[in-house]
Amino acid sequence: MENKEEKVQEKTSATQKEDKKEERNVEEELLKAKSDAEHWKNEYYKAYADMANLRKQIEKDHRESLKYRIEGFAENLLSILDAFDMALKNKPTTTEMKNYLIGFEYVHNSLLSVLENEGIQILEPKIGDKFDENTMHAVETKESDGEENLITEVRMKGYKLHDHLIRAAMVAVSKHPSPKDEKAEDKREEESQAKE
Amino acid sequence: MAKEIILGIDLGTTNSVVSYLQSDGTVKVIPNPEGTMTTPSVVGFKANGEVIIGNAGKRQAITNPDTVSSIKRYMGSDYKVHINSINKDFTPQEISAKVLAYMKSYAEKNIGHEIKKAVITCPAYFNDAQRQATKDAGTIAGLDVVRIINEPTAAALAYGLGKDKSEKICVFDLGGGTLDVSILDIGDGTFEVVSTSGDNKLGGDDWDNVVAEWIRAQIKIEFNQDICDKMALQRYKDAAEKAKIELSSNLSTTISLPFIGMGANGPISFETTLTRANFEAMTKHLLDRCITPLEKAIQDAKLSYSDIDEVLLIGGSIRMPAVQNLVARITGKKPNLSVNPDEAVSIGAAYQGGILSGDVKDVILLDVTPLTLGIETMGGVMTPLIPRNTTIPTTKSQIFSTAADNQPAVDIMVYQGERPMAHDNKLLGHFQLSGIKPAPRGTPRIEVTFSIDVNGIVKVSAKDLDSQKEQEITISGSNGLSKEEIDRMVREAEMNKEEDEKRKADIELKNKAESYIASIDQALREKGDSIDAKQKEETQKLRDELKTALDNNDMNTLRSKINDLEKAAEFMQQQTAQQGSNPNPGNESQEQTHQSTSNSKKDDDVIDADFTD
Repeated sequence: MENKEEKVQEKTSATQKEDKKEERNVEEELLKAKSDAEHWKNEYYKAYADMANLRKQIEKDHRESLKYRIEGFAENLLSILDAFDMALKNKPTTTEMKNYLIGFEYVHNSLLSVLENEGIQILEPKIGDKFDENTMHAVETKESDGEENLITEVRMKGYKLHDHLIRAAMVAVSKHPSPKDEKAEDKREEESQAKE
Repeated sequence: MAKEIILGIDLGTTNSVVSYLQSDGTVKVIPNPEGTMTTPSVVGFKANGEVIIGNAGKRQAITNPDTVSSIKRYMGSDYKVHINSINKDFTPQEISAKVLAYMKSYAEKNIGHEIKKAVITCPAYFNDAQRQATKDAGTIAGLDVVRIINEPTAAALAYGLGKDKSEKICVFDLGGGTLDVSILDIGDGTFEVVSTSGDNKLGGDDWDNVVAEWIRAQIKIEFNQDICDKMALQRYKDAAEKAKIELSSNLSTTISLPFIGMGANGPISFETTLTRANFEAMTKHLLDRCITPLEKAIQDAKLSYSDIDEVLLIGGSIRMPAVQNLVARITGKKPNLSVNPDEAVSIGAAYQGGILSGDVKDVILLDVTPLTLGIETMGGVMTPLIPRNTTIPTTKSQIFSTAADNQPAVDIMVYQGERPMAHDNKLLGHFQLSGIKPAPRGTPRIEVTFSIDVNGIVKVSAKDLDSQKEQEITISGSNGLSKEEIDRMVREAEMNKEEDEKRKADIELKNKAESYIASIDQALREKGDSIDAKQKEETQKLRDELKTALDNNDMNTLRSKINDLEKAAEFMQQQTAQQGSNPNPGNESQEQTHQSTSNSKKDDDVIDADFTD
């Protein structure tokens, strides 16, 4: 009887031990599950946040591409616009030719106003203006004893669409003669052109 | 919030590019404020201390002797640039730092926050001093340069190479002014440069110059006048470059130079056609110069062309078909061209940045559905719910209706495939939703929801929105198709496209006819007595003709009768104003996301009916 009791007690303590172990396991599992849940909750929110940010970025890019949608088209028009400028630069010698040119001038103006309606700005610097690298491209320098970096000739007009420069105005710029450095400078110029 | 962004910077001799790895694992190249992806590596100093970089620097170059370009050629040397206007000497790394700082600033503006780290590329042949100088340039610019990597290695990364198998690759990089050929041995995440060769005075500009000279000569022949003022020369060069670009995609191009000069008889305008064959003939000597570096690189690597597993072409000038053909002919490999050749190096550097920040490892590769999933609707048409290549997990719902009056049940047949007729696709499973209250065709609203979980398991449910009765099916084996099977199904759909489209159009026409007949029958039945007898007779006649054509499968008559009938149906519908018949059940659809599917309830009042949707 006693023996039996002891056995039972033994057994109970063994079971208790077992139970404790089990409990620990369950606890561990619970902790792991909790941290897993936390991890996936984070991942889940991260995915949403990423998506929201991506959407914002795409919307921004989309607005931008809408704003600049005619950029490529305008670029292709440049050679035509330049041709108009070059044709109209000529001084006609006969009245008939003059009348033709006036007609072309009107066509040119209409074309420009269509482009202006689409947001294109025409950059037409004047002779004597200060050179500005943000809107102009210096293609040649002209020696002069007067002030430096002034425009001496406008070769081609520039065009801008909102903040993007489609093409800078091509200009010649005044520069002091510097016989001493001339050779070195020429070389440098050549070099920079070759590398362009 | 993703991990810290590390910029990938291609610091080039002529142009530089910056990009970064986005949280979805794709690389974005960042445009500069002027909207171009490449920024000239040009720095100009003004007397007032202002520094002008990039496109603007290039534009003011000839007005300003204190403009520095191609400084990369001096990296790692003792060379110093003296800037007169501020009387100061600059090291090449200080100049490069100006370019890097400019790129950093516009990248930050684009991304919206400060960026501290970058991976910068350099040529494979750069020695330690040159690499150190490149790194120092980054440091001066305020960037923590986490790694300097070789340009060809970056190109390989951009192409996703080096992940698993080991390969030998050849990187052929023909830029605006230099040619670099590198042989790499890659594998297991390591990239070893085995040999390099090149020609630092060969680039796309040489091709332009040849064409520009040719234009000038043509004009001389045609007008007996050599027009060679600076303005004209510039226009020749621009026209030549434009022609070169156009000849990459077209077989011939028109070179047009109106008002190029003044002659005795007024303005001279020049126009000519240049064919690709002609262009390639006049630039053949340049193409031939590509051969030696290629051969030398292979020889130095002690390999033969057959050892090369992959050929990558980068640099803008490889867009010329002649260059691609030459490399293909010599190496015997079809060159890989899928990444933008101007941006590949920067893109690869951005990937390297992603690997270093741990982002690449973290990118979850989401699966896509290999084939379209949908259900069969009236006439055996496959109505897609989830198109192929949709990223999973995903859920999509659409509302359908019945095809016949008082239809008590709908059969939902779930198919997978690209063919427009359901029976040509693979049947994945089917179930029936019954207990639909008696109603005219097109009136009940049955919402069908497809959802695919992250493991690719497809659940399809159908819910009668009036009675809230619901049935669903789970399909597990839908991804059990082998790649070959999927490819075959896609190919078959492609092959049968025309015929399938015609069959589908015929079925749709028939469906339309059937639904019109039903509408008219109903209208005549309900309002027949109240309408004009003559009109009624005419409509009846049209309806009968249509029925005959439908029964005889006479599509031409059917088509013409439908036109007539549409007018009549319109009239009838005016007569029966409240009649809201919907001719095409599939049309009354709406999309809903996040449709949660509850467990299907057991229907107590199941009406068993053999009715097919």
